[in-house]
Amino acid sequence: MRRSTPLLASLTLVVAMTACEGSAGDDDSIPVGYITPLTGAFSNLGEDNQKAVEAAVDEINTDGGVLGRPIELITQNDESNPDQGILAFNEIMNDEPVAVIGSASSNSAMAVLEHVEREQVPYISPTPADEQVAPVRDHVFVVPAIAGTYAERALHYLSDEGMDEVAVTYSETAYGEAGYEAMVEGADEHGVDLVVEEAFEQETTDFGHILAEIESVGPDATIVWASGPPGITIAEQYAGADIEAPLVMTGSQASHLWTDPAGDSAEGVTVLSSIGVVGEHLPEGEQQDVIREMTEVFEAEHGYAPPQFAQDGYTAVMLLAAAIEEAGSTERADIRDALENLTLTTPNGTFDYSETDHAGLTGDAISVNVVEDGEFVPTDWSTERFGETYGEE
Amino acid sequence: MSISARHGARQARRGPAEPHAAYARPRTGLPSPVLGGIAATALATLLLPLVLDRGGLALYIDIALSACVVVGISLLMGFAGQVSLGQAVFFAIGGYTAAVLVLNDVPPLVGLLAAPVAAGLVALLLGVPLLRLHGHHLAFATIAVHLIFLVVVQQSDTLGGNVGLMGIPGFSVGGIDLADHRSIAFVSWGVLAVVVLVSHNVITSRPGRALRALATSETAAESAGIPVGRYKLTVFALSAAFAGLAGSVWAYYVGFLSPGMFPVSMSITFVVMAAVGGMGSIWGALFGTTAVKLIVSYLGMLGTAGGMPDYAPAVLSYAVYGLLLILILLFLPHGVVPALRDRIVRRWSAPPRTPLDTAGRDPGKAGLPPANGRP
Repeated sequence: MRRSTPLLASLTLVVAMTACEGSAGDDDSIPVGYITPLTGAFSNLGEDNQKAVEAAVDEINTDGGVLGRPIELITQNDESNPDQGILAFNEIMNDEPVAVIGSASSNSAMAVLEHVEREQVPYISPTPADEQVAPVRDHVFVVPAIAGTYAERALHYLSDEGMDEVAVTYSETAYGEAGYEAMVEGADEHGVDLVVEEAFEQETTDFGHILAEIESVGPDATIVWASGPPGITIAEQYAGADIEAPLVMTGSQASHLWTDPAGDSAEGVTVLSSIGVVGEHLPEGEQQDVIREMTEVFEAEHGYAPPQFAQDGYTAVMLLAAAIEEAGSTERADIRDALENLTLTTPNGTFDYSETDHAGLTGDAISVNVVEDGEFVPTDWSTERFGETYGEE
Repeated sequence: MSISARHGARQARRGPAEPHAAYARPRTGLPSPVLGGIAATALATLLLPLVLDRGGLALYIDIALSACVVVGISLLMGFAGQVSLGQAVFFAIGGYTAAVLVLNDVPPLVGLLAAPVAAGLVALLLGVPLLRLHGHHLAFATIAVHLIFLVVVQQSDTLGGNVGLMGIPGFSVGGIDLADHRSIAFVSWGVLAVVVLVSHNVITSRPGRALRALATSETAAESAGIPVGRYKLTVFALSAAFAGLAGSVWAYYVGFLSPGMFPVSMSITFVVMAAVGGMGSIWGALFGTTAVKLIVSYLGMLGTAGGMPDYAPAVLSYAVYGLLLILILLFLPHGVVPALRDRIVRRWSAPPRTPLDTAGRDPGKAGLPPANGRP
């Protein structure tokens, strides 16, 4: 014990010092930080996200880089864990990155935002949490469509289709609550009446009481704001209940991570998704080209179509590269300003960031689909919108 | 607060702390190598923030604040023999207390002081029914407390619900801004020092000896006239106060709190740290926290280093980390620090020719002779 004291102290020093090494590469490259959950609860999202981020960076570097300089990624694993996220962020800041692409794990993303603001480093977030951009933070820009944008699109669709009486049920998570609140806020404007409003806990496995209420009220449609397991369970129980109103699910269900386990219960369910998910159904034009290019780059490397989180990662790199090019500089403040004035067509849709909007996407970036044989097929309503928005004149 | 304040004050009169107090007899003069070791460690860790870079500082802060919680656990589990798998709750309560106060324009220092009081009070209230349980039942109950706490926070608008509390101001004292990494690192060091001093005092006090008796056999302790229930409750509250104090600094440092930041796994990790270092030893808690955090951080960095295969992060974070923990607990079941201490004590106190004289003593228990060799 006595001897271990100085030993401990020197050990601490040695390990701490080795921890400081590892800054990299040639002087010409542009360092970009990247935090991703490679282990823990969100590892499957984090891995897809990383594959796409790396594919996008490789593609840019092969084509001559940004401002003629290659991008160099400084990657850190946040283990899906907020306190590791903070360590990861600060570790990255050692290498003086020009910007940081954040974690796909929303908890660790939220945990670093105060540090991002204090460090004044541009931060591009591939996680769809509304509270990242409400209120707007100077340096935080979000890539995926946020729950509020999905809600807007859903209301638009429902009212156009004459479904005025809508049941809403949502999980008590940040995502579910953001979606629900946006529905409440926009309902009047779209002439939609929310006839059932029910919350459930994330751990809920029996939705009998909610489904019974929906059954007795008899709405025109039911929309569910959920992510993870309850999204699957409620779809299964809904299919088994005696309810005629169509079931509407949101972006969290727009992947095989939902259709596979939900199986037959998913058939015929209406699911909102990013347009990138249904790229092949878009009319010929710039938007489809951008999606196709990403799909090809990703598939060539990994042998399967890029899921949503991969698209978000790819889009994050595209946005950052465009902002640096636009700024003509690798100064953080210049990149931030360029992001705020950026307009860019990406696989996720056309971004139009502004001083008051750091989410950048509109409802046009969202497709309303129906599940047919486990695939997402845009509704006629959406196909019509595509023609107006993305068709070539 | 009253408990820690009183002990703190008493400590101040007494002078420097003896760190591995768990095993020393009260009132013994400390051998100079020990004092030297303590001073060197204290000085080295105090100077460390001056040379660390930003990533290093973040890790330093994380280690120091986690160590506060783990020292409390070590006290609770190693001395009072009580299991708690819910310590992260008190860390969170401290954080939320400080955050809500500063967001309502209370000075951050007041928040810092109120946090351990709030966490300690909650522990007192919870402890009355909970500490009637033993062993596994108590462990399950504390996990339940953790889950209930998360649901309560999610329902509370004052605490930010699921979305969380945003924009918590950084730490400052009387207008002096201490929000930067280096200042927070020093604050964390100070907070940990207070926790260590208070713990040391509790351990070497008369109640401390009573606690050790309690951990060995509650019935025996009770029949010796020790107010078992009251002591258990006090230690529980004290460990909660340590966690709450650390939690408040964490809240100022991070600037954001949400239920998602306090998963049950966090509580369990704290216990793992205490087990690795060695229960019932302040040094064990400090070592265990540092070792686990450094290993996790190092494996994480190794996993994402250039040229590593895709599966490296998963293999390193799960397999290698798990293997290390298993090896430590398999070969050093009492934790690293008690094992090292025994080895050194054996070598120092016994002349080479009669090593068996001292080796025959029960190593894992209290009452080992200090290194300078007592009869």
